[in-house]
Amino acid sequence: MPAGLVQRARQGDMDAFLELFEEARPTVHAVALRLVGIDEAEDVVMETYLKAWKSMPGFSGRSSSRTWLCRIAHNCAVDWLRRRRNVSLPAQDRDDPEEAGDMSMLADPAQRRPSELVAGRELQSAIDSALGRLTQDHRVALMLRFSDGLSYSEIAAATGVSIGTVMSRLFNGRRKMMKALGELGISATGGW
Amino acid sequence: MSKVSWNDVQARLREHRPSGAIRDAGTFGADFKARARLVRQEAPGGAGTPWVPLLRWGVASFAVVLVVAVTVVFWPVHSDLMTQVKSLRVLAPYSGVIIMNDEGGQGTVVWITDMETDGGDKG
Repeated sequence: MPAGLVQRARQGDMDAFLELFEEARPTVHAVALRLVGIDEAEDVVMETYLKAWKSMPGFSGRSSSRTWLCRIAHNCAVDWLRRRRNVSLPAQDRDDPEEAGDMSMLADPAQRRPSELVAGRELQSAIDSALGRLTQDHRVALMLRFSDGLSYSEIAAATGVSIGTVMSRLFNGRRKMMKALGELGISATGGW
Repeated sequence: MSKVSWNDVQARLREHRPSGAIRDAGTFGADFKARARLVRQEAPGGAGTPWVPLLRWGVASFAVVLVVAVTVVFWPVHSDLMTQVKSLRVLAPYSGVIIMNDEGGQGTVVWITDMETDGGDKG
């Protein structure tokens, strides 16, 4: 990180702060979106940046800014969810498979031709359904890794667990997802 | 059963970003500045400094250990009351008595020599 920008941001320069952390905003937004849902993601992003701004004098700049922000975003999201505990989670984050995905399109995969089944939107639907069968921990880890492109350390910071736990969740999440796809008539093969 | 590679699944997952748009940098920056003006930055070396909570923990732990150590060392042990033999009555004939106080074990050993028991044993 540019030491000059870090120094200026630590001394209260908002432009320097925004310049430093603008690049990380899509990552923070992705974390917030996976943790609290689409409607409130922007609020959590703003709260994350305000907390980061408040803590900026204690930020040395030696660690990754994205990992630092991911950790703050996780804390903000947890606080946010705690405050809004009585509000139901968005449909995509529910653990109930019946509510998480539209299974009707794949109700009877045996009656469909394989080429038809795996083509385009239907494969996407199958993946949506398979994701809906995962636990939230597994789903969030897979989405942050493969949809949003976060590193292991960023996922660990964003979810408040160790890197080992992230690796375990990715491994088991992938295994369960392949099993779920298999139950939907699609055999996913190959390594990472 | 149809087959797809895991790479296909990964590619689909990459396209799985929800349609929630991220605000453009200008709008976000203006909103941030308006709110950040109301937020006071922590002083350098304040709560944001990582060694401060560690130091607090260290001091608190040391205080606890100190209190426990002082309590154990200076706890009053009434060894005299616990081990002092006020009187002793031996019904069988004997030649002598040795009373040993073990303050460390907080006990007293009473040794009676040449005591005549029913079986004629001595001890």
